[in-house]
Amino acid sequence: MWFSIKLPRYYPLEHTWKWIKEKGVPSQGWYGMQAFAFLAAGIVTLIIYLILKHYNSAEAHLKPALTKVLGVAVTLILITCMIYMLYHEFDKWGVFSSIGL
Amino acid sequence: MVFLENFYRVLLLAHLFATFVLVGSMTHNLLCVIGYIRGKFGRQKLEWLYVKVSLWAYLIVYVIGALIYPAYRIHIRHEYFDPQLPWATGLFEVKEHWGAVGLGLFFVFYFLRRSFKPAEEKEKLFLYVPLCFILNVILWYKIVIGCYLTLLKGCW
Repeated sequence: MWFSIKLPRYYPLEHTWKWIKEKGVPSQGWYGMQAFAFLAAGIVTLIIYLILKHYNSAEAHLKPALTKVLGVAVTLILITCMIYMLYHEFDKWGVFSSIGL
Repeated sequence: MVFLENFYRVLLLAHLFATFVLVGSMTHNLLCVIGYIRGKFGRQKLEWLYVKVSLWAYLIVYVIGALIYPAYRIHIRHEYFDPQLPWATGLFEVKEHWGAVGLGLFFVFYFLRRSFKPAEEKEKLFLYVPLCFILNVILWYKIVIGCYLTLLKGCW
């Protein structure tokens, strides 16, 4: 990964949370990543919502052409991110090499 | 003792049954949405019902999955997949990441659908239709990979 953020990890055998990743001890970073991702997304969404609310009335509508462009752009970004996730994990865990790629 | 490991099988079955509801409702939703592309808007109420059912089913699937994850992490992934079949962990990791993306997308999908009528605001279909397809890709990946991994090692 080209950047990383320290997040809490759950250690199921010890029933505890730690900020460090201990080698050889099974732990789960997924919960911390989820909390961080949804919190960050929620904050960004709230900020954009408040900005748009400040500059536009509730009745204001996007132009149809702009709506279409936004739809296509969001779709492309989503697909790109999903493919990157797949590539990253498949590469990391040897899925590609296991099927001879 | 790992969190909820005694209830793992029951919760895994509940996870599977909720997934049946989810995949069923979202696949039917996709069929309705394909109708929108063809200009057929006769099943809007039914399609909206599928969206609501799907959202609740997704939340249930997600919560149960999060609850059984520690037992899976220790007894299946740590003891079997990681040392013997690391590629299986790769398949699982994508399932989890896409699942998290899917949760966020489901709320967007729900609120977007609630905010418009497909027959009247067709430009919004440029976001709604791809979202429906992407969510179905995520769900079908999750169910196929989930079932395959369970076949490799479902419990201990």
